Amino acid sequence: MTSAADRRQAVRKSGLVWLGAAVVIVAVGRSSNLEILNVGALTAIWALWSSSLNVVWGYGGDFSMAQIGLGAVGAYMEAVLVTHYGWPFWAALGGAVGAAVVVGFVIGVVAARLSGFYFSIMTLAFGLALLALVPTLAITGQSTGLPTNIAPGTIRIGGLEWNLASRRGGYFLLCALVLVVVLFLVARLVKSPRGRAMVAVREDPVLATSVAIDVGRTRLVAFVLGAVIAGIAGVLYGGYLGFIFPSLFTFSAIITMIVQVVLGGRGFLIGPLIGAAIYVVLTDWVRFGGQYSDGVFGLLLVVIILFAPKGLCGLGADAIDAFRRRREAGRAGTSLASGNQPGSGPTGTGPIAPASDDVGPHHSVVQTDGTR
Amino acid sequence: MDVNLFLQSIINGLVLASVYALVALGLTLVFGVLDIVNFAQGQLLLLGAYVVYGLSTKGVGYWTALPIVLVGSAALGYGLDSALFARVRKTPMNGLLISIGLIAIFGDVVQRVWGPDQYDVPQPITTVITVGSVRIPGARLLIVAVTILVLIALTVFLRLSRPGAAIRAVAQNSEAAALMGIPVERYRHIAFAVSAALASLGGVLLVAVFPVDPTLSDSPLLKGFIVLILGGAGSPLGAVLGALVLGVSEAFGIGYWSASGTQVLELVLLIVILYFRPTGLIRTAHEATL
Repeated sequence: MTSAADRRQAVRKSGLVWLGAAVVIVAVGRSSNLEILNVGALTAIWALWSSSLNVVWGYGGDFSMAQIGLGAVGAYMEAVLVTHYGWPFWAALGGAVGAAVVVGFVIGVVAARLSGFYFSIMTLAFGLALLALVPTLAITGQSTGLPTNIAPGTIRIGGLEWNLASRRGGYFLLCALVLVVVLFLVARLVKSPRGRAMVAVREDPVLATSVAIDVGRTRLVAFVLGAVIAGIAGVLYGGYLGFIFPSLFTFSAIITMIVQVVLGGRGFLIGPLIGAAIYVVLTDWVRFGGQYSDGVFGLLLVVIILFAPKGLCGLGADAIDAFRRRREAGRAGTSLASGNQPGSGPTGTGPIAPASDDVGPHHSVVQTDGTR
Repeated sequence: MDVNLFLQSIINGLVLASVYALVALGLTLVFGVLDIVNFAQGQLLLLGAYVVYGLSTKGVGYWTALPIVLVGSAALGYGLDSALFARVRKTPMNGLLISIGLIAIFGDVVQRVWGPDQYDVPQPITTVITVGSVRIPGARLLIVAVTILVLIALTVFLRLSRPGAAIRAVAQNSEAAALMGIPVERYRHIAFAVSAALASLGGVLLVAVFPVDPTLSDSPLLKGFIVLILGGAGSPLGAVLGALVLGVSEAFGIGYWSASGTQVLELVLLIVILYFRPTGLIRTAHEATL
């Protein structure tokens, strides 16, 4: 029931969103305020890291606790390749992602046999084993850690030039660009058949099997994709800090990531970004809660779960839905046949980013809070 | 083989097994009755340990502190379940997330009140029993003895008392239990309260041997999960046997090999069991479950 005009409008709208993101990034990147640049870079890194959980959990429905461990694999691999073997940054990034993929594949193959909380415990065991193993190897600097020596080169846009390793905008630009590219690809994935299969598996694995979706493989693919994103995030995190050591990647980092994803909204593309922005701005900038910020965010997690389990994006989507329904109802009074379009819109922010043409007025079948 | 080291390892293993069994019993009770995986179990243990220390600085002795902590944590557990977990019964995943939030909250409360330092609690028993050339601290035997007593009491409670029967009924089929006139929600709260009391007892017993510090609960929580999986989630008997196996083998691993190696090996063990037998090593006959 969608016309070509509707689709063109959707494309134009999402194009505007991406263009807006680019403008914001370049504007912040030109800023000379170091604090803003650091907060921006850290937000982008955490958003990326949390997006890895969002892909596996928010879209795929598997609550993984291995994402911090996978990020640690990426961070350590990059640091070892650059510091000990003198690889250039981009090659080391490839190596780090490769390592994360291999580890993620192994964990995924083993864990995809299980579901529910057994899956979570399995991934937690793997994650903790990684975190316990890494410091025992001599090449990782053991409990002292090692420098990351990041040197991604320079970028030129027109007459402007940024050194990507620089604290004066370059590193923020690198992180933000990577985040935008990853989010764009995730948005594409979610609208693709494979992405829809992931959501179908999340909603009802038995039903998904009955429509010829290979559940095990779909979950494995989601997990490996999550590992790729976590690996990249780990490399950028290591680069941001300049030096990595084992206590960066502990259970409290796992909690931090869960808080961000739940706060922003599970299964929403920009949920992790919103959660990460709130977290980083409050802890690193405002220093909200002082040294007790962990407890404050634990409290926030409990409150969000009790009163808005879909997170902030869920609240927003519900509000937009209610607004649209009211407007439709008003319009239906005058002309009954107007094309009704419920849902959170085609901008790619919805729970599965539903394009209105595929699910029609009944798309609420797949719009849940993203839990099993 | 050194007899001394061997016996010492067995005693240490039994001590570890006792604490793991208490944590895992609490986990298995909550999992069986409420379908919730309570990650905050370790923090309840930590809280119990710190309260005993806090009371000891106010001149309250170990044996007076013990019942205070047990009653207090049971009340806390009852309150947590009725105020938080009862609201997300339909989605157990959200219960798990709440318990993760509680980890952060309790962790900060402990940090705020007591700081990051390590404290010693006055020993309740300083006797050392000497058998031949082996010296066995009385406090370690105390931990094992108290745990055995609690296990017997818990078994009697679950098997022979009416509230225990009601808890088992709720675990087996809550709808049928409700139809038989059992106030299901109240017994869920009670199960959570018992579970919290078991965890804090683990903390109280730990401080009889080890100093109190914020990382005291890290290992018992993880080991509790390993035991839970090892014995089969929802099976109290499995939890006790699993705790014995894990505790004793851990003590021998640390005594004869290395601590970090043992830790990694335990995680590998957890992964292997989850892969091949996610329902636990012991085939849980109907009798063995709650």
